[in-house]
Amino acid sequence: MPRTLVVAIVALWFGLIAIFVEIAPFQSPWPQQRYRLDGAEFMALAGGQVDGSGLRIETEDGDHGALLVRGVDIADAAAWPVLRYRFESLAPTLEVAFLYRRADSTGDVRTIALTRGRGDIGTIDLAREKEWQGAITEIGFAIYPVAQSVPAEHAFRPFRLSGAEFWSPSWAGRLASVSTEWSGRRAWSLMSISALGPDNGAVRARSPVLLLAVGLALTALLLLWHAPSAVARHLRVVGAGVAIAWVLLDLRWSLSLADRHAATRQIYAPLPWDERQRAIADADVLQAAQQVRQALREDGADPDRVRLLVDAASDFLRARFVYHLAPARTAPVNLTGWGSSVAVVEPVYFAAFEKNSPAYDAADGRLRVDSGFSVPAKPLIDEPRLRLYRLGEAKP
Amino acid sequence: MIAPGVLVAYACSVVLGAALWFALAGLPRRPGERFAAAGYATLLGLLASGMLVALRRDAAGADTFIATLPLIGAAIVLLAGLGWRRARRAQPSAPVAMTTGTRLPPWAWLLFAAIAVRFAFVLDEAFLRPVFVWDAWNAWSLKAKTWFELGQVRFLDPTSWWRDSDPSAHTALAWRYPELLSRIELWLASAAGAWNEGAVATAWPLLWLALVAGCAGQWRALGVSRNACVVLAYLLASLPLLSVHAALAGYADLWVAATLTFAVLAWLRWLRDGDRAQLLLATCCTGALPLLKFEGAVWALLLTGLAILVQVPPRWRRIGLIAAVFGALLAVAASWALQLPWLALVRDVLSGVAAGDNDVSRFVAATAFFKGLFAQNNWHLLWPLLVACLIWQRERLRDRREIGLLALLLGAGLAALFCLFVFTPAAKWATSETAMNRLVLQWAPLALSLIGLLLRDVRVPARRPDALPH
Repeated sequence: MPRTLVVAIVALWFGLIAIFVEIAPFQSPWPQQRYRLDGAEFMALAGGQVDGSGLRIETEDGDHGALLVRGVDIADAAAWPVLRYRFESLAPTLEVAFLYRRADSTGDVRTIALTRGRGDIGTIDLAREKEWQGAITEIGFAIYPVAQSVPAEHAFRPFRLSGAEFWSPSWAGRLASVSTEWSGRRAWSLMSISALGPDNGAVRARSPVLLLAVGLALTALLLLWHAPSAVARHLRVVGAGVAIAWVLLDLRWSLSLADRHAATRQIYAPLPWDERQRAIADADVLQAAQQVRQALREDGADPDRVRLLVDAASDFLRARFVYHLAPARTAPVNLTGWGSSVAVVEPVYFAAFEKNSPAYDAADGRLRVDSGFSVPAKPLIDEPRLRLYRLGEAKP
Repeated sequence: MIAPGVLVAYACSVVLGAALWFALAGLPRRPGERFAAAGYATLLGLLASGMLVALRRDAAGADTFIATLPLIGAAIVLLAGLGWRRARRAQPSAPVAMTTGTRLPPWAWLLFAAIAVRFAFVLDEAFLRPVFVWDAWNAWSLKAKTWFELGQVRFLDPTSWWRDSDPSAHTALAWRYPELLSRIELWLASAAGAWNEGAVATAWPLLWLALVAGCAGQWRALGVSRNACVVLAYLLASLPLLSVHAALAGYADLWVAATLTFAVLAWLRWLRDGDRAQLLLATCCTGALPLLKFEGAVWALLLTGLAILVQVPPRWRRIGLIAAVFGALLAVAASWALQLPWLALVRDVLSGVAAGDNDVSRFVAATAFFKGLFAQNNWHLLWPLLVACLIWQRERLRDRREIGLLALLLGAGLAALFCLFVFTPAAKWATSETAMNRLVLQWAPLALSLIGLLLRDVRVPARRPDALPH
């Protein structure tokens, strides 16, 4: 292959990478200034222990995570757009958020979800965060259980904060932050079943798949343009490129799958199957469902044969509540409405999880569905998060 | 540890599927057919088990398993008898070599290892994690869990539920969803003797493996070289969203993907070789599609329509098309008269009731559609590679009938999705990157099949000294 063609292909790929990484051409290749903060300089609200230059967190706080903060004196946030953070032994069941307080609004704590880097180190380009501006007085890290897919009680494992570092703007900082986004550790979320990429927080980098596809297509065109007759040779080159690109993407996905699976194994591998089904992120909904079934039995009703209207604070909670109540004869009120619940001769029950409407009027013993419609009701469970009523006059 | 009853249930299902393959296609004789038979047996066996469970509606709990076993046993005996009779009637023929006798190159074993490692991950994930994803517990598992505890009670629409005095009648958001998948879950849970979500979920990784094996076998039978089949099998197994649907078990899309792919590949084999057994397999798979998910009914109609159109002599095709349109209208009218639930769902999606508020522009929806194919991490380079192969090997679309028809079918399927997500209120699901990717998943194995067939006859000239650069 002629040397000029090789140079053109290499230049093409460098150019594409620069475009996809969004490198500012007039920035310094390396950071001119660095502001290093040792982990030991941070203060943990609970369970912190200085470990050399780092901070070791041995026990979880009340929210099954940890909060690590430190005062800083950053006069202009724009001068320090790159944050590098290093955690050791951070369990795959935990997520990290960056916190900061600005001098112009010291009462507000702002948060940015961080992507966990492939190694111990992660990088974020804060220049893309519009709230990162002005003078900064305090920074910190919040470590908390992964939402949705991890039961909070099983999430925490001891870890160590080695330190953090701010960099002035540079190509290296931008490359490091995009590298963190492209190769970062991800956790399962409900979104994962539909799409990978936006499944864990904000998308902060352009698509590496598109980069590879465009790069390979332009390489093929360049080869054809240079020597239209040498198709066999071009095929071998482009075929090798496609194979390498596919394997790289697959390696990235395999590592991501391994991370997600590591979290699953940490929580569920030690448990027998019946305990696994109780160790879920919404164990409180499961407990509420069991409480409802028990209360129905105590009222003399068979939970699987009486009509049980169900409502909750959100579509998700309502659907989960219904599933945990199964095989109860549930009816989500957003689907069935209130129907003829007062007219039927059989008893009808209504359970609400984390939902205050309809309100119960204790004075006249009625549940006020709306201004023109109320139902005689007897409360069976009346707690802040969970309510259960028997509607109408019928007895079980 | 997985319960012994669950292993028995899986074994019964696979043997049932194998008996069905044996009855329809005989013993595997051609290169790749063992893989194809293994894949088809797993899928068809599980589908048939779900159908047989439906015949034991009164049983509940572990009794469902006990009550269904004799049915499965009888079906196996019957199908094996048919297969034996078919084998005896068949003309004795010279055995066809199953392999070319050469060893696989070392890199092929590396690719097999990659598939095995991926399978181990998704199997363990599915087994350990309680049912997690939304529609799994909102639609399919809710019915299965209820049926496991109470027997196969009816799920009614809300109005009927209020009117019906039967205390066993239930309702749910997904009351009108097809029920075969829930019955497969019921079959596995009853074998476990409890509502054991891990035992139920292992069906998804097994189906994933069956899809990979079945596709590899059919590609080989369609003339793709053995080494190319190994590469394509790895490519299929590496598709991220396919692994996700195996690991986070519970959605119907992987089942639709496998059933649709197996139906189409068997149909292509029939077109190519005239093997009537493959047509029967294609018919079985196509018939199962509407029982899995509503999209399955649409894909089944699309495939059936195309298959019939291909067989109609050219001079009758215009009349055939008019008859097909008339037939479709008749089917819609009959569904309306019988109040079949699929029509209400289609109406809700097209009218926007199912999608809720929607103010998405067509441009934004179209961008989201293409972003889902080309820019997200769901498919690696599948779709760009397909486009490149179609451009490069465009002559083959005309030269090779099975390639042209597969491209036409895939194009029609994707065009239907494009219209759905760009021109209807379902655009909301394209921009939210949810349902759109799941529906594309149903076509992804066929997209890879098309790549395999397009590249099947490509011969890259060997490197010659005079081809080297000077």
